[in-house]
Amino acid sequence: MKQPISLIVNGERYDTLCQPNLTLLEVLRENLQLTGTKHGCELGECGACAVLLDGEPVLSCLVLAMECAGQQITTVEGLARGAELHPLQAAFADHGAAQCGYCTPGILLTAKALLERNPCPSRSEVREALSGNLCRCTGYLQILDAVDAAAQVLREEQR
Amino acid sequence: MQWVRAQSIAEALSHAGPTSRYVGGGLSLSLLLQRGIEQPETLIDLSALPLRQIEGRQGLLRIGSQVRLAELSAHPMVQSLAPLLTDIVRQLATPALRNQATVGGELLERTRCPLFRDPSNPRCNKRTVGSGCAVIDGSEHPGALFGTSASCVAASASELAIGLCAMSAEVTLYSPEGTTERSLPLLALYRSPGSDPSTELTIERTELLTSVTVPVATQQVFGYARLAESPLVPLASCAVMLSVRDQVVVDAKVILGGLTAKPWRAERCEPLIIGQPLASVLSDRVVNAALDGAQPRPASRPLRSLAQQVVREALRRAVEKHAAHRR
Ligand SMILES: Cc1cc2nc3c(=O)[nH]c(=O)nc-3n(C[C@H](O)[C@H](O)[C@H](O)COP(=O)(O)OP(=O)(O)OC[C@H]3O[C@@H](n4cnc5c(N)ncnc54)[C@H](O)[C@@H]3O)c2cc1C
Ligand code: SF4
Ligand code: FES
Ligand code: FES
Repeated sequence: MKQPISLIVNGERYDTLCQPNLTLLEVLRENLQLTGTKHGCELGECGACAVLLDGEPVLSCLVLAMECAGQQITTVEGLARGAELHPLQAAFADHGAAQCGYCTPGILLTAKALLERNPCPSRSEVREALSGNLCRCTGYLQILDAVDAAAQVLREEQR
Repeated sequence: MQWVRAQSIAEALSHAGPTSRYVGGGLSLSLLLQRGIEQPETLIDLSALPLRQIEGRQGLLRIGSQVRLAELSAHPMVQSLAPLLTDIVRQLATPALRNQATVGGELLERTRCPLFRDPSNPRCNKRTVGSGCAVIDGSEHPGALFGTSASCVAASASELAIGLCAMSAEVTLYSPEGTTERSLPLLALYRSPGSDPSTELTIERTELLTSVTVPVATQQVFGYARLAESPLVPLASCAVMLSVRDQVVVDAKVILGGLTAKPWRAERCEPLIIGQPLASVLSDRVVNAALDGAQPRPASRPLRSLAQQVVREALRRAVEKHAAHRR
């Protein structure tokens, strides 16, 4: 039986109907047409589907959509500031941290949550925060560099 | 299928029945729902219940079942009074999974046997009693080494349970039939498969786990060790509790996980440790005794040495912690 659900995604309210066994990933992509969130393994192992739930990263391929009613969901579509890229997005482009780009939305959001909690993380803190996000292209070094660079930009904005 | 967001324990219990499932963080359940392995008619969401507190009083730490694993490991009281739990949770799965997974869901998760989770495998006694077991019938998957039966060799899933059993935790449960809570040692919550592997638990799936209570005593030290194939799949793990007075071990618990059908108390080890000077705990005799009760099949024989390694390492870490405390 489909049930009504209201989701708040990137600050906007969406009303839809869904079966209680649907994951947040399925509802974002199929009901709401927000296809920026990627599906990878759908087993909780790759992090491609990570989104923020009340500011913290969760795996949308395993979280049930019904659980998220009333919580603030942030997807990669909510990252840019109007026409301007988020400093993380800009840094990922500058550092070649996004190649095929499949892992990028999940990594951007996970890094965003980290930098909000800890504006000046060490390399090992960045590594730990991203330990559930797999990337087959970059070898991670560019990603770590990009997060460092974005952290610096964000710190300067705060001054 | 119907979704109910329960606003009270009484409301959650009123919806519980043979075709309902509680939803903690939903991570483990959602995979089984997607594959049709669990087909409940009612999903009872526990997230609005007041079960997300951690409280300490009178030598006890009480952890609500809806506490997220990330909250558990970061909580100052847990870090100071039960650092073993922080140690275990930080090695468990990935940060995003720990943000959503609940203590209750982690303890009551179903087995991670890959053939149980594979809907294209028709032979699984846990899903359909009497259908056979694809693991026993020749899969390369090793299955568990301890506590198995001729009908199922699935390993239990929860790492947190290993630590909480070493700490002699108790769980509090409500059943739809009664309105009062009851408590049970956590170790007694789990069962071996026997001839009916359909459930891993001694309780009904309609019972609601509301909290876990852990006694915290200053003279106890703990050690935890885990060996994993990938960061995500624990192959073998062990948690050890040593209670030490004047350099002599006065009480001990050795709990094995990962390669066990349920959190497994290495009962033969414990008497070899109790009454001994701390310095002699790390012996081959103790480590070998941990294999007592092992039921190796050809595929699981290599696990024997893994069991010994984690027991040795967990003991070593406990002894080391005791030395560090005294410094
Ligand atoms: C990629 C991956 C890696 C993992 N690695 C590890 C690991 O290294 N070690 C480890 O131990 N675990 C590991 N896990 C398991 C993970 O920790 C569990 O999936 C998670 O803890 C389940 O929690 P949950 O709250 O989402 O459970 P849910 O899916 O909500 O619930 C699990 C079960 O418990 C029942 N339930 C939940 N809460 C209650 C309650 N209060 N009362 C009664 N019944 C209840 C549900 O009905 C369901 O049957 C891993 C999982 C994944 C996906
Ligand atoms: S080991 Fe148990 S759970 Fe795994 S396939 Fe065999 S019967 Fe099923
Ligand atoms: S798609 Fe969700 S973790 Fe891989
Ligand atoms: S850029 Fe291709 S997987 Fe990361």
